[in-house]
Amino acid sequence: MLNNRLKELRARRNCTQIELAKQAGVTRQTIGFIEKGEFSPSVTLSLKLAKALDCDINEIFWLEGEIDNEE
Amino acid sequence: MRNDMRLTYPLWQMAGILIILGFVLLVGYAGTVKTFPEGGFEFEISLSSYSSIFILVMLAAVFLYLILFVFNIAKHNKRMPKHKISMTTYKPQEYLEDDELFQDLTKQATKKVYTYFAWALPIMAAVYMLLPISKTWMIAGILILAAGQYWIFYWTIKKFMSSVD
Repeated sequence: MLNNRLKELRARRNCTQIELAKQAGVTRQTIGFIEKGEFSPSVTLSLKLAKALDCDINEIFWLEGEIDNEE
Repeated sequence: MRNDMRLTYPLWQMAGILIILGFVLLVGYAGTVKTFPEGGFEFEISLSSYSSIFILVMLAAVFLYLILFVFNIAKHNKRMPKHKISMTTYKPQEYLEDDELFQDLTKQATKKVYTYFAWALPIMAAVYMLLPISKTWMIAGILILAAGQYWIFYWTIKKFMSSVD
């Protein structure tokens, strides 16, 4: 399962779902579903989101249990 | 997205099928086909007072359906020029492919339709083989089966859309 902190990172940049969706070239619904963890985006979209939020892809997405394992 | 005709397009298809079903039953019950040994055939439709009323209702339904269908397509195309409904494309109009979320949703819905046909067609073939069903009801069964696929597609998309927002 893919976890994410898209909502948190988006809020930190005062960016709305619509604005982020526009930058990534997707619909607002897609951003909402990714944030809720109900949709896993493709690598291409993940990279687009990382670019739009000006951060590394690993800051947004990680696999379940990955952080716990590292700790 | 809520006013997107692509969402309700399967219902329009179902309505079209129901109209065709009405004509199939009309022809099946009020019509007779005579085939001649030397070739050719003759089709005769005998109209009782009930079937006359039925044929008038059906013609009115076709007329109303076509007007509403064309009007709604024109309205949709004006409102959503990026996602126009066109009668000249091969691809089914109800497919939502705006982005990867909707492509995934369309894939889920079409998978359900595939599963439905994978079961329904052999069952229907077995029923047709085992039971003495008239040609009219065989065609009606196929039409009902076709309507079922649109209902499955519509219901899958509707369930998803109700979870949006």
